[in-house]
Amino acid sequence: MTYLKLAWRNIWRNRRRTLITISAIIFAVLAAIVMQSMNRGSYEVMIDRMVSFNTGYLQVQDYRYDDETSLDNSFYYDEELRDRILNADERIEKIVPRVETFMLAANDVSTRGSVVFGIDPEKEKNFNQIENYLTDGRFFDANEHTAVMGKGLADRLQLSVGDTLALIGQGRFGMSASGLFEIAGLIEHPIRDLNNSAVYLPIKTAQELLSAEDHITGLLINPYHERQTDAVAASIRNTLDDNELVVYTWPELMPELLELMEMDLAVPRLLTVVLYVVIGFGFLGTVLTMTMERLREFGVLLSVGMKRLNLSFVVFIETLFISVMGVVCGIVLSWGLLKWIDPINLSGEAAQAVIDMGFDPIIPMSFAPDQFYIQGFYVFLIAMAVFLFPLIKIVKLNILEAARS
Amino acid sequence: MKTLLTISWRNIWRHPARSSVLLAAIIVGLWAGVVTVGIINGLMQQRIDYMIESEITHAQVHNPDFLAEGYSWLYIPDHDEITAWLENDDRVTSFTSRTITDGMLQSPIKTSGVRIRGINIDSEIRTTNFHENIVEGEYLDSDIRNAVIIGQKLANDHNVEVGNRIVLTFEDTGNELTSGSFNIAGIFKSASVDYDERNVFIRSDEFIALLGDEEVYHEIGIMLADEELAGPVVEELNGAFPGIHAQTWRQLSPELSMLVELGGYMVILITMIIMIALAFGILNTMLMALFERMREIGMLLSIGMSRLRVFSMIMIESIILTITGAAVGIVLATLSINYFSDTGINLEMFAEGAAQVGWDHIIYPILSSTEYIIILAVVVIITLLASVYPAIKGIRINPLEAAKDG
Repeated sequence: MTYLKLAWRNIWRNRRRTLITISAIIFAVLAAIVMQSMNRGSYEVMIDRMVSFNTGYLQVQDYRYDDETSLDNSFYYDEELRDRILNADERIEKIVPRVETFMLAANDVSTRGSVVFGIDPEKEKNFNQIENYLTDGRFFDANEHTAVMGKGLADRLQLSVGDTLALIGQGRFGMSASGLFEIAGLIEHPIRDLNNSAVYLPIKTAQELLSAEDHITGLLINPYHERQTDAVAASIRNTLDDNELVVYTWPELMPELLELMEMDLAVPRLLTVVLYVVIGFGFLGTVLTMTMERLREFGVLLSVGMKRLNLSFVVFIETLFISVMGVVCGIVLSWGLLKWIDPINLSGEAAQAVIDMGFDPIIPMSFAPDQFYIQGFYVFLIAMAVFLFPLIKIVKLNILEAARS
Repeated sequence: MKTLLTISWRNIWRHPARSSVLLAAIIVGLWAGVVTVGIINGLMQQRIDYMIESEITHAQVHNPDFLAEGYSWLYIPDHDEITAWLENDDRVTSFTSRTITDGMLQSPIKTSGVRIRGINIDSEIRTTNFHENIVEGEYLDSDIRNAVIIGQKLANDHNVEVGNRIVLTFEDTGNELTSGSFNIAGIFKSASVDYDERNVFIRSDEFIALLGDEEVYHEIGIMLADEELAGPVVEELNGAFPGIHAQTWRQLSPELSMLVELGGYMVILITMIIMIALAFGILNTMLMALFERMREIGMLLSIGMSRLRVFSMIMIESIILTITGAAVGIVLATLSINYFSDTGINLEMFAEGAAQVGWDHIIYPILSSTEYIIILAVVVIITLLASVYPAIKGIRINPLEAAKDG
């Protein structure tokens, strides 16, 4: 207890010195978190885009659908099933049914392969804001007999709003499926392949067309946060226990995407290590000079009979206080700083290139809580490692020389 | 002035530990800046090279409407004249003609929309290295009749493997629906899953036989002696042949230009964070050093040294340290960049399963001499700026108070 008090007083005896050391730690935490948040932010937005237009963070399917993506492996979906899944976990934010199949899209002379999605327009809008990509016409209501299609596909078939689109294909259990639909709207789909192939129909209309009344091929589920994916998957898995339905998470649905992202993340990780080295050296400079400044004080204390071990202990406690204060302040400040700079707006050619790809010209910041304490902890470790220096110095100190300096 | 220099020089050596820590911080900062920029440059260049060399090539020629619509009757007019032109231009190192149409792939399980690419094996291998992407079976140079190679993702989706048969359906040049059955000779895996899902390759002679009576081509991929030549060559082609549309790789692939532009942005942001961290580390060290020296500076002021001289003395010390640190740092950075650009930096430890992706888990950093100079200048300026504040602080002290301290 005496040591604690001693350490605390030592810290505030030389306020200026302490503040500089703390500010060094704060700054290290700031730099590490901002860098991490920037990397994570662009990573999250990339996942979000891929996931909300393709698979959802979680998807419930018939257990045979993964092997054979055919309408024959669709499943019965009603309000009872929806409520059961919604009740499985309170972290579920959105739940979106879809029917998806390959069909031929045709005008009067030629045909094109297309991916037909039967969707609930209201839920879909809420899920991926698809209506923001509408360039012509309007989005259909749930009970209409009209279609919305990718602009690329429409151009290839020389169709525009108001024209008639023919869809030809196979429904459930080999039933033939064909129909004519008025085109209600065109979307400039942000995923280029879908822009050249997607046709959206109201889900009821699609189910009728495909002889799959009340059946869907996938139920897309989003939790409030990406990081809750696994937990929500576990609860749904429990609920669906004795059923033929299975739940997949997005890494299972798109393993290739994950693999490539791992690669994209490798470089930021390497650069974070480079940042740690810079932080470590800057810090070492501060601590080393601080130790030099205090050598005389240490020498005096040792000459008046304080044991080296006890002195080391006091200094250790001091550094612990300083590091913890620095890290905590750093985390708080970095949160504020991130709020302030989020999102970074791109400009010039970079912005144009990103817009051309159909993305928003921003670099968003991530606010995932784990990055705050993980980065804070790493900087704390670096600080403690650097603070070993004064301890070593105390053990090796030549009392006479130090007290004289 | 000479006296000041001598004093500063001696001051530096009077505190070897403090000076060397400052030196180390500067050296590390410079090294970190150089290595960071080198790595990001290397990564981006590798990706661009990969895309260009495996598929896009430096420039492509199409029928103006083909890329948007993909119909087989939108072939390149005057194909033979264009190839003759390319043959005689010595900026062109190689080129290859492809027959391409959008169509459908049918397996017993389902049907998918694909872009069918008919390639000429000899010239394709001379021009691109896409054949290196084969992960199972053989490339199209196999003896199998009606051979097709498809992407791994597509093969998984359709539950097919090497040796199986699939049906390709497409519209021929006369607008009639035609089908052909093809045998899977090999499976490829490129850097893009989407690409693997949407493209299949067959031999162009077998494709042309199904498409109609004429020999038609929809795309000419051109590799040039230098990437910079793409702009002028494309312009000349468009001028010489009115019925075509020639484009550079940047125009062809918005993904690539986004990568280039966004990558440039990220370099700036990350370098900024590292440089700010460096500046703060140095600022703190200098401040700390100054407090340690309060007594000494107070003494100098009391015995009559002018504040300007004290300020200059501190600044000269910083300048000497900065220049030495920058010189050593740039030598170390150059050495490590040279070393890593030979052996590469293996990123496997930072990415699980990176080795399976295969195409860029080893990064070879690149840095132009302009970038060396810019980073050097930035580090020197930042260090000097970071030392101005402590120096100003130093001359503001009250000599009596300071001399009493300690």
